[in-house]
Amino acid sequence: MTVVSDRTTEFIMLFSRHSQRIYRFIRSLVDNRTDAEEVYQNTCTVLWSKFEHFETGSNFWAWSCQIVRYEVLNYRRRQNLERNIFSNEFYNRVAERAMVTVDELDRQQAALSVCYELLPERQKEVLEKIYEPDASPHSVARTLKRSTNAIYKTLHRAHDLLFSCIQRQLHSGDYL
Amino acid sequence: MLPPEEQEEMLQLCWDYQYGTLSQKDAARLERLVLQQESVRDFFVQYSSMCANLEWEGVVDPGPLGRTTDYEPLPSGELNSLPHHLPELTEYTPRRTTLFAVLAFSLVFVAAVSLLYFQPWREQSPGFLARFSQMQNAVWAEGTRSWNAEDIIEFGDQIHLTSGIVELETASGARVILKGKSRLLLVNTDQFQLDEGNLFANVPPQAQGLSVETPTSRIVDLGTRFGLIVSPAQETEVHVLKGIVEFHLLNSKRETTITKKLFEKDAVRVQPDSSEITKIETTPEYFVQNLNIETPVLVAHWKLTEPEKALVAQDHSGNQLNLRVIEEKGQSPFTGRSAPQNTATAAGPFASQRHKLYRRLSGEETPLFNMQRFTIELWARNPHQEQQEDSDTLFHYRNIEQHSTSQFNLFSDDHSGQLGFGFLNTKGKYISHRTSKSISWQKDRWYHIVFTYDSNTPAAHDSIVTCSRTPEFASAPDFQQTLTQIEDITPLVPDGILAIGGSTLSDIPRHWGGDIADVRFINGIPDRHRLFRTNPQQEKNH
Repeated sequence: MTVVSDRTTEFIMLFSRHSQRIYRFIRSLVDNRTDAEEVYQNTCTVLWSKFEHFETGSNFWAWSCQIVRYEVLNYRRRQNLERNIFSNEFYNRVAERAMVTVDELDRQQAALSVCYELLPERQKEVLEKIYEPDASPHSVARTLKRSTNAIYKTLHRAHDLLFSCIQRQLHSGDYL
Repeated sequence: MLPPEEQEEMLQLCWDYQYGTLSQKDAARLERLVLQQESVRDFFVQYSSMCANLEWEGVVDPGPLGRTTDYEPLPSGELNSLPHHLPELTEYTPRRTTLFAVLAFSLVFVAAVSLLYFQPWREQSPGFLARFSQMQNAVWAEGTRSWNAEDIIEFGDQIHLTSGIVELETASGARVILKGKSRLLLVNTDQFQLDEGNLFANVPPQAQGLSVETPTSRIVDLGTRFGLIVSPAQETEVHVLKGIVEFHLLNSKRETTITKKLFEKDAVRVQPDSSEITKIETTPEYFVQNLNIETPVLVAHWKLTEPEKALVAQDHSGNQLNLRVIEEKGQSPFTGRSAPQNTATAAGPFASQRHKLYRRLSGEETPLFNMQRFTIELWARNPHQEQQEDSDTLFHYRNIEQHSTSQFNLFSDDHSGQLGFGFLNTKGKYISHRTSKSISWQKDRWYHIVFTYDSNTPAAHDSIVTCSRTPEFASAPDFQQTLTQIEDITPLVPDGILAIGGSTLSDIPRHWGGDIADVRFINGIPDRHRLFRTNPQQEKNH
C-alpha cells in the first residue's frame, strides 16, 4: 500500500514539473487549441495508467514524449484527410526538434512574461480575454464590442510582437 | 534568428497554421521550409511553444494571464489538469485520502466558480443579434437598405440581396452566407426566414438550435453545416453537409405536419403546397461555404504610361513582368493617348494584332498568378466592334505549343458589347461565358472594368465570377453581374504568352481596337478599400 502511495506521489511530482512542457510539445504537433487540449487530456490519462511501467529515476520527459507522439498519431488518424495537411516526416522532424530544445523553450516561457508586460494595453486586454476557457474571437468581439475581424487583427499583431520580443530577449542573453 | 524577410513570412505562416487559416499552398510552403532548414524548424517550434504558453493558463487554471515559471508541488491548477479517470484503489491510505480530498475540493471549487461567475456572464444579453461580417460584390435590391460590412442586424430587418455574397455572424457564433439573389429576414435570436435565395449555415455547438423558415418548411439545426435553396417558385431544398438538422414540413397555417431528421449527405426537396418530401442528391457545390477575407496581392501592374513609340510596358508591381511588342513587325501601341481620370497617357490604339503587348511567362513566373482567386482591373475604351468578327481581347494567356486556344481570355463581344471570358477547365476543355446583357460602349468614353474569379470550394463547378463596368467619373457601375457555378480554371501552363490588347490566335482579328490603361492582375479579391499587400520593392516602385 505504501508503495502504491509513493508511486502516486512520484507521478504527481513528475507530472507537475513536466505538464506544461507536455502541453507545449502537443501544441507543436496539433494545430488548434481545442484538439490540443483533448490530446493533452488523453495523454494525461495514458501517462497515469502506464506509470507503473515507468522506471523510477529514468527520464520522465523522454518517456512522456513517446506517449505524446503516440497519442498525436492516434489523433491524426481520427482526423479526416483534409485536416492532415503535413507529411509524417514533417511531424517527426518537428517532434524531434521540440524534444531536444525543451530547455530553450523553458527559457522562452520566462521571456514571454517579460514581453507580455511590454505589450500595449489594448492587445493585453484581447489576449487576456481570448485565453479564458471557452473563449473565441467571436465571444471576445462581443465582450469588447469590436468586430471579430478586428480581434483577429489585434491577436495577429500581438503574436508577432510577442514572438519578436521573445527572440530579442533570448538572444540578449538574459535568459541563457 | 532568421533574416527579416524569412522571419516575416514565417510569422505569417505560423499564425495561419495556429489559427486554422493555412491554405494548402501555404501548408506546402511551410512544410518545405521546415524540412529544409533547421533554423526554420526551430522558429516553428518556438512559435507553437509561445502559443502553448499563452494558452496554458486557460488549460489548467481559469483566470488572469499570470504565468508561472517555477513548479511548486501541487499548485491547484496542476491538480486540475490531472487525468479525469484515475484507476480505483483497493485500499485507501490517509495520505491518499487527503490527496483525493484536495483533488475533489479543487474540482468542486472550480465548478462552483464556473457556476457563479461564468454562467451569469454567458446569460447576459449579447450586444447584437447578428451582423454582417464579410461581403463580396454585394448588390442590394432597389428601394431596400444597402448594408455594409459590420452593420448590425436587428429584429425584423430584411436583407434583399440582388447579387454577390455576404456573410452574417450571429451573436452565438453561427455563420450564415447568402449567395446571389436572396431575401432573408431576421425573426429572432438565431431565427431566420428565407423567402428566396441560397443560404449556407455553419453552426458551432454553442449556436445549436438555429432555425430557418422557408415558405414550406422549418429547418432546425442540431449542430451542423447545411445549405438551403428557396427558388422563386417557393420550392425548398435542404442539403445537410455535416451533422444533423431537424426538418419540419409546414402547412398553410405554419403548423408542423411532418418532422424528419436529416443526417450528413441527406438532401430533400419540397414543392409549395405539397406534403411530399422528395429525397435528392446532396450538392455541396451549390453553396459558398467559406468566405475568407484575405489580403489581396498585386501580381502585375502595367500602368501603360510609357512615352510614344516605346516598345516595352513596365510592370510596376515589383515582379518585373514587363511586356513588349512583338519582335518582328511589331508596332508600338504608345501614341500619346489621353488616359482616364486625368492621369498620364494610356496605350492605344491597339489597331491590329501587331500592336498587342506580350510576355512569355517562365516557369518561375506562372506560379505568381493564382488562378483560383484573382482580380483583373483595367480601363478601356473604343472596342473594335465594327470588325464584327468575334471578340475584342483585353487580357489573354495561351501556351501556343500546347494549346490550340486561349488558356484564359477576357474580352468584349463584337456584336453585343457583352463582356466575356473563356478558359481551359481542369480537364483541358475550353469554357466560355458572356454576361447576360448587351452593353453599349459610348465613343471615347473610358470604362473601368473589374473582373473577379473565385474558385470557392475545392469542388470543380462552384466558382464565382463577377464582372462590373463603371464609366469614367461615374460613382457606380453601369453594369454588374455575378455568375455562379462556373468551372475551375487550370493553373497557368509555363512558357505561355500573356498578352494585353490582342491575342495569340490569328485566325480572325481579335485585337482590342481602342485604348487600354492601368491594367492590374491581383491575387485575391480586394475589398471596397482596395488595399493591397505590397512588398518593400513594390512600395519603392510605387
